[in-house]
Amino acid sequence: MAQVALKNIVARYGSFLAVDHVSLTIESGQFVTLLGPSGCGKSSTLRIVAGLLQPDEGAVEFDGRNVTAVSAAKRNIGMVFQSLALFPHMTVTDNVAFGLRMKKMPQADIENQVRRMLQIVRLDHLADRYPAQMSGGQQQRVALARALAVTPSILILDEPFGALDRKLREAMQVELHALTRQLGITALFVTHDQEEALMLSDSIAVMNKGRVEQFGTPAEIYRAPRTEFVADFMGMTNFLPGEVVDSDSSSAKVRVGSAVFSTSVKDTIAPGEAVKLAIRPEKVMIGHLSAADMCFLEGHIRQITYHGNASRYVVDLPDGGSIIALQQQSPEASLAVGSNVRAHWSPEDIHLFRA
Amino acid sequence: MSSVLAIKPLSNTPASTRRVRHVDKSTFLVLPACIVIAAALLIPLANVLLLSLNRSQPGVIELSSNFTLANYTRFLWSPFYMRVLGKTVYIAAMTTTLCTVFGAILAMAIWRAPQHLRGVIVIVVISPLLVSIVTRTFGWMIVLGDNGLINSTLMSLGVINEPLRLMFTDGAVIVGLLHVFLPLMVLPILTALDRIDPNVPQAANTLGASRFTTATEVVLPLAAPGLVSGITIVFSLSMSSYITPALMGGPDSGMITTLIYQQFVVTFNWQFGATLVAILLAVSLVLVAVILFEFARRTRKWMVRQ
Amino acid sequence: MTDIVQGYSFRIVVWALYIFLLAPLVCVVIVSFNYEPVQSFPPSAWSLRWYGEALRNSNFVNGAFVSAWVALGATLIATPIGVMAALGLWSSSSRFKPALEALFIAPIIVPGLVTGISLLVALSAVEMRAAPVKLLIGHVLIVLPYVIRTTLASLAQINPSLKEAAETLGASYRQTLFEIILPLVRPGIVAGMIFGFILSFDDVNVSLFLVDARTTTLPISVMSYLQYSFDPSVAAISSLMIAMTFVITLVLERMFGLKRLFAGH
Repeated sequence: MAQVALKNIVARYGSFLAVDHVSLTIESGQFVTLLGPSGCGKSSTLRIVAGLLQPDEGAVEFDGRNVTAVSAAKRNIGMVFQSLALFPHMTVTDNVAFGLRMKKMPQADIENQVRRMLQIVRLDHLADRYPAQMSGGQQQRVALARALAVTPSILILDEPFGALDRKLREAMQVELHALTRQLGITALFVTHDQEEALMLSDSIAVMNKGRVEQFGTPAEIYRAPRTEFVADFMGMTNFLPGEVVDSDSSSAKVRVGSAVFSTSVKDTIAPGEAVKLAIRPEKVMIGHLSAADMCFLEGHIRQITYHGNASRYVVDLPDGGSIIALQQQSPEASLAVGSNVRAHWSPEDIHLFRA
Repeated sequence: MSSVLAIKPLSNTPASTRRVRHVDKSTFLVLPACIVIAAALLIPLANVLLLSLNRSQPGVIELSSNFTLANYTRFLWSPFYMRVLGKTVYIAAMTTTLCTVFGAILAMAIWRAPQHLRGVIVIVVISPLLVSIVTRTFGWMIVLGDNGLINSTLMSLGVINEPLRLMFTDGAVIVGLLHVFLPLMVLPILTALDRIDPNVPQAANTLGASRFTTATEVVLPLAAPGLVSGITIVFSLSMSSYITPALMGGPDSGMITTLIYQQFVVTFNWQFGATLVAILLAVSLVLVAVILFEFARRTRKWMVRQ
Repeated sequence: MTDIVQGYSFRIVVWALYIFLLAPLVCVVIVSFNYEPVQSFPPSAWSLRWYGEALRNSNFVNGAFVSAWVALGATLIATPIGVMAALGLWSSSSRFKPALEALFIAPIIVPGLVTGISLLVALSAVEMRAAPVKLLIGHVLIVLPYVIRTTLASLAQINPSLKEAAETLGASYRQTLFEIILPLVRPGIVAGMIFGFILSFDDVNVSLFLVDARTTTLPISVMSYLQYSFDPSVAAISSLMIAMTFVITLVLERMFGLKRLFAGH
């Protein structure tokens, strides 16, 4: 297992900047995820690490060794493709043995390694099957075994669970998490699903328009998004426009409509500056104001939807905006569409972004 | 029963009768084509095959009900006819082999070519197919003739003093057939290549396979359906080619089709001509069936039936 | 290193094959501009005189007219039959579908020579002696499978839900056919017609047994001319045929993509 570093990587398709000066270090044994919407450059970045795409600028280093000019065939990587890309004309054994054969490993060693890999992914009983004779989950495990068999410097996974149904996807996620931790594998994973990223990763790089917007642990990314894009992508759907009226190094007073809220800040924002307040929907309460230090806005309920474990309220505000609240309980009878309510939250749940 | 119901379409017709109406409509649509092909091809072909079972009588063209295998025994016991058949199979096999090798190479080149060049390359590859066989053969006469492109080039370079005899040889026939049939090999292989998941060769690459290994161990086996369909097409068409051997072949390059033409147009022995047609079809069919069977046996396990 | 060597040798072979495919056609065009009456390569002087000769040759001109009329007639007869057959096959869920598919490619599978002989024998048996009619029947068989194949290829691109969508909007079978399906498959039909026309115009194998002394097609008159004479007027008429098909081919590739016409079953 190796440490993998990207240094100032740039990739262009014609005039389109797919990867825009990305630098990233994946420590040995770490599981790192590139997270972002489609077209954000995550797949291009992954293909550059794999050696399937040549960057226009910058360098890729494996354990400090510059491998930018080394072809994919010579990088010693293991890759799991979104389409799996199993060799349909080879049995499970031949698929897993392929990379070892390319390395000219002695036949006896190949057999041992293949047997070990198939045991790890619990497919030893299907060694002579062809991919077309297996279920989706089994094919997935073959792809994983094939990639791991070569003891790669880094395991690269390109949205491998995208095509699976929800139940199978969750099972595979659990399995991948256990396997990578047990074997201490350096892994680079690509997905557009934040839940998947939060669950699997040691670190997450959130990408947007070819750039890394934030790189950090899942908890950091979730709790302290550094940009509006990351906040939005991690599920902070309420953004209220406001203006700073007063501030010092640790706190700020912000006016939204006719209300003024106080919140803590990390760096000073000058009075008069336009900002956006972001609040997670699950932090917004609906109903009577209880605690005195709570922030609130008044409005009336436009829509209520039932989500099984939660209820979702859309509250229209007098100034034309709206705010969404997600409550972990069934809709209350007193809260009906059209009724006037207060949407309230704690000051520490406010995240402030420069508009 | 159900067809009676189908005459009165109701707004809430049950699904089963709706399907019957459906089938009726498509039957009506395919009928004219079936009639044309049956009347103009299948019945006349059956007629020819039956004619081969009549005693040969030059000048007589009617089918009689006195059937005999005399024509077939005459063919099988004649060293001359068997030699011509052997030559036909040899030339068809050579053509098919060369076509397969070069066709696979060309198809891979088109497959890997950038998208915007593809149209042009496809036209270059297809062009022989869209030009009359007479024109193509004439072109080869200019290239291979005694004063042709190759001989005059070699002579002006001083490599040879006398023109080489290139035209009117078996080699000329094989070159001509290769030219005609190469596109028919390239196209099915290209279709099979286009069906391969582009990640599959990349996966081989990430596992350390060189481009050559990827081509021979991963890409070509997956293109096997195209290869087989190309091989069967080229082989059966080579077996039955007439114009190229007639115009480019030497006096001893006669193929079975040359004999067929003679029987029908020169000696008017239609019964024996029909026998030669039947033997040509039978040999082609058997050899093609062997190829298809062998292919199915090898790929049965992994081919996805969709 | 071996990768590079392999890459270069692969490229050299590919270019040699392109040259192999084009050389005879290019040579024909070059020779057609030769001045001398003997064919020599390369020509020593240039002229257009053989084009004049070719166009004064009554066998070539008559042959061209016969070929054009037969190809046009066969295309016009085969197109409606082929389009209907393709539509029928497309909407069929019958268990005879594979048999029908096999039947419809039979005219391509059966060698042209055998088709020609079969028609010769059958039409003699029913005392049909008019060469134009015999040619027309034979050439309908040439064009028909290609119209069916290109139309089917176009139909395969249509999302089956479109038909159902039209039905849910109240369209009758006829309205769905004429307002939804046929406009969508028109490129395929036209491609099949053009392609069938070219193959019919160029055909020798089927026609060989159906022509007579007075009615012969252009490729066959060129072939008989070649058997006793070798002057560049053959090159000139051949160049004209090449030019015709190349123009049509370019149009066809732009419209439809040629690959789909031939490949795969």
